[in-house]
Amino acid sequence: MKPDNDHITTPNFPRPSFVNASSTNKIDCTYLDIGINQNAEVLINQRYLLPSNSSSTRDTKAEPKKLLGQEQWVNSTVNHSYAQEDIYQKIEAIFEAGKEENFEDGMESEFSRKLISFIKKYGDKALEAITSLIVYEKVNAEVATEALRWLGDLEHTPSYSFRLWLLERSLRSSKARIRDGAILGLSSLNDPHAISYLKLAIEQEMCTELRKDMEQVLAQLESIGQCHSS
Amino acid sequence: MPFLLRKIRKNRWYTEDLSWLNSGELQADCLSDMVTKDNKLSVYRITDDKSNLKRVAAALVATCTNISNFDYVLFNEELLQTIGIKSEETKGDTSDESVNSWHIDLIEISLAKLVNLANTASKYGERDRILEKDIKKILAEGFRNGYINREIVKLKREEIDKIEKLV
Repeated sequence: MKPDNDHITTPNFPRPSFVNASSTNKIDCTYLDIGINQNAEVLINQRYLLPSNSSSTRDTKAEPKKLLGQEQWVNSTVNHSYAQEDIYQKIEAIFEAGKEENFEDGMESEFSRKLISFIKKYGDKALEAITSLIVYEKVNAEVATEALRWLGDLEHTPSYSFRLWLLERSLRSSKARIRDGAILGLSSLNDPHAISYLKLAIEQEMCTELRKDMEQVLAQLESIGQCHSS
Repeated sequence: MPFLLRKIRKNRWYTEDLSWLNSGELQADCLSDMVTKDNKLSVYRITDDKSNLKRVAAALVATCTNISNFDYVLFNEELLQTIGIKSEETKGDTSDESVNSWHIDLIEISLAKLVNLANTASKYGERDRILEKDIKKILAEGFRNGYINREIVKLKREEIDKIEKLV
């Protein structure tokens, strides 16, 4: 079930380390711009994203900044939040512990239970921290993949948009396993919004087997539109 | 000649996208999908025309807590002779009695044979995936036709409810 997107709030992001607060900087990102003024106020759009050079991504060229979906520029003063750091440390510990588990499709694990409980408790704050871990590739790929699968499966309306965004973003991970986790999460979510992102991912996918799996999920999502129109 | 099916996680078997992996090699992680017990490996026999494949997949998903995609590797049963692995027919432990009758154990497996099996299955077999959405439909069909005994599935209650809505 898709949430009402008119009420999406922009979360308070801890200042990303790539942001230089000493001067006015505008950093071009793949999907959106993050600007910072001299008061260290970060201007971020609704889909606060990362610069295209912030992690070892697969992209070798900047993509056009055509945005898919609604954007809003929101002024937000970003403060270092001790509560957010605490949340970050907690989720980091959950991911770290997850490395010791052997995951199996369809089976809950200690990791999946803790992850789901954490998101239900902290909502978007939890997802901010998870985003940072997964997008910056700070965690074990197997655990990140597992997280993305469960993010797609979770029934939790308040975090829906954020989870959809993270799954779409993870299609651009430098690791094939994580991209596979993303497509499985998107398959679970079953939202046609991901179609354009999948198509782009398919164009760029070098792993033959994974590209075929992406096409399979794309067919699933495209069939939703066909069902509605028939 | 029939096939043998083993549930896997496909991304553990990728051979591309890893610069350190030599040509023809598999990731070590794929052995996580080949865990033996008492040196035996559980597989399911699939007919030549693969007509029972979906039923086996659904039954295996029903042994889990949650409905999910089903990834598998399928290889020709006669490859066992090439590798030198024995098999014995033992009853499976799913909620579908027919699927249970298609279960076999590969036995007396040494480490070398296990690695050889993984390599052979990867090289000569096929890997594929059934998405969660399709698994739900197959499970619903299983419930509807009475193939799957709802009383003994291991799926969580809320997952069973999702299937029953489709029945």
